[in-house]
Amino acid sequence: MTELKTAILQFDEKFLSESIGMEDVEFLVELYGLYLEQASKVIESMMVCRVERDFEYLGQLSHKIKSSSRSVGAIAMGNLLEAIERAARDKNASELQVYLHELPQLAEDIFEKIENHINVLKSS
Amino acid sequence: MTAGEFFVTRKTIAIVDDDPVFARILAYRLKRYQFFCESYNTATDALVRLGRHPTPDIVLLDYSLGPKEKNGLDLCLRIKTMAEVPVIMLTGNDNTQTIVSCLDAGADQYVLKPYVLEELLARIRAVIRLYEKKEGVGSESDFGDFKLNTLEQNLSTSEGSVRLTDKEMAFAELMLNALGSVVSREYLYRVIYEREFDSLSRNLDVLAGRFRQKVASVTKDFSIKSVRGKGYMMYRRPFNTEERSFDSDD
Repeated sequence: MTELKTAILQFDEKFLSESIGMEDVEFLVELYGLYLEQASKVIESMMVCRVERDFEYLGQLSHKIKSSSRSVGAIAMGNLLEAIERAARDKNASELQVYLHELPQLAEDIFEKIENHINVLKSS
Repeated sequence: MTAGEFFVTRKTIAIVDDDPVFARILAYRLKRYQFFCESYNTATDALVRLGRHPTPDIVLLDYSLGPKEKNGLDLCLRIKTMAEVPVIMLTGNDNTQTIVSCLDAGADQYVLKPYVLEELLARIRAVIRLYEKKEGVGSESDFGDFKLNTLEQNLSTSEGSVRLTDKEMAFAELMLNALGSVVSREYLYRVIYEREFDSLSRNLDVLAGRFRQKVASVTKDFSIKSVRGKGYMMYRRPFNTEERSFDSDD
């Protein structure tokens, strides 16, 4: 397991509401939902790239959801995606191998936390 | 020009970014500062929109529009051939090559991601101001009994004219757009001072008092009143009503 994954809080549930400066539950639920939908699709495509060793597309896909991951408070995911983007740009296959091995599990953990948080918001 | 600068008519911003989460958050934040926002996640959608009139007042364009999309630079070049609209590029790279490529593609400004809202707002104002001066538009707005001129910074009626400060202009525009309705203190404060509402600050009350006096210098038919616990309202005085009889609680 890399430092990227362990050293950073996986999901900061306060991050998004604090950054937009408002506890607008409906809007927060919409944003988390958008993120889950988008990130799931992109990660799925990244796994295909991994098999096809398409580094360039892999880097572009990582870039695509890096900032939104950070925006919703999925900091560890943002950092891992940044590392993947960098390794893809450098065509560093061994680093990519490590990062891409971690990605599905980290995504699953974070998505679960976000879904739980959505349920908390909806019931509040 | 101060942070309180404003525009007489609400401006429309087109946000073009392949990241819908980022675009929604940005739109949400800008709307709180009195902008209309439209979001487009693909170059194709953005181009369709820019082909229609009226065009947005400004485009905020992501440098990297995603793997299968025309990149932001190409789109910027295309936009510039289609419409006289200012473009601010949003980029995650601060290297010279990226910045030069943005400007060479015709971008009027660039802002680094993650952006600082105050800086982005300042750059938006700067480019809109330049375009309005260039086109000679946006200088005067007609609110019926009042005219507000942004270039000369004055408020006029058939009885006279008075010069306003930047913040008084912002206050005037917000009040005139909502004539007869209450505008909340929180909203006024956030838009005029461009920061979150500070309930302890008396700045807004001082500003409202000053603006009320200036309105009184150009007309006896209208005034401003404070509505306790809610905000401020500009209203037409009832016929034969004594001066300040409605200005009850501030």
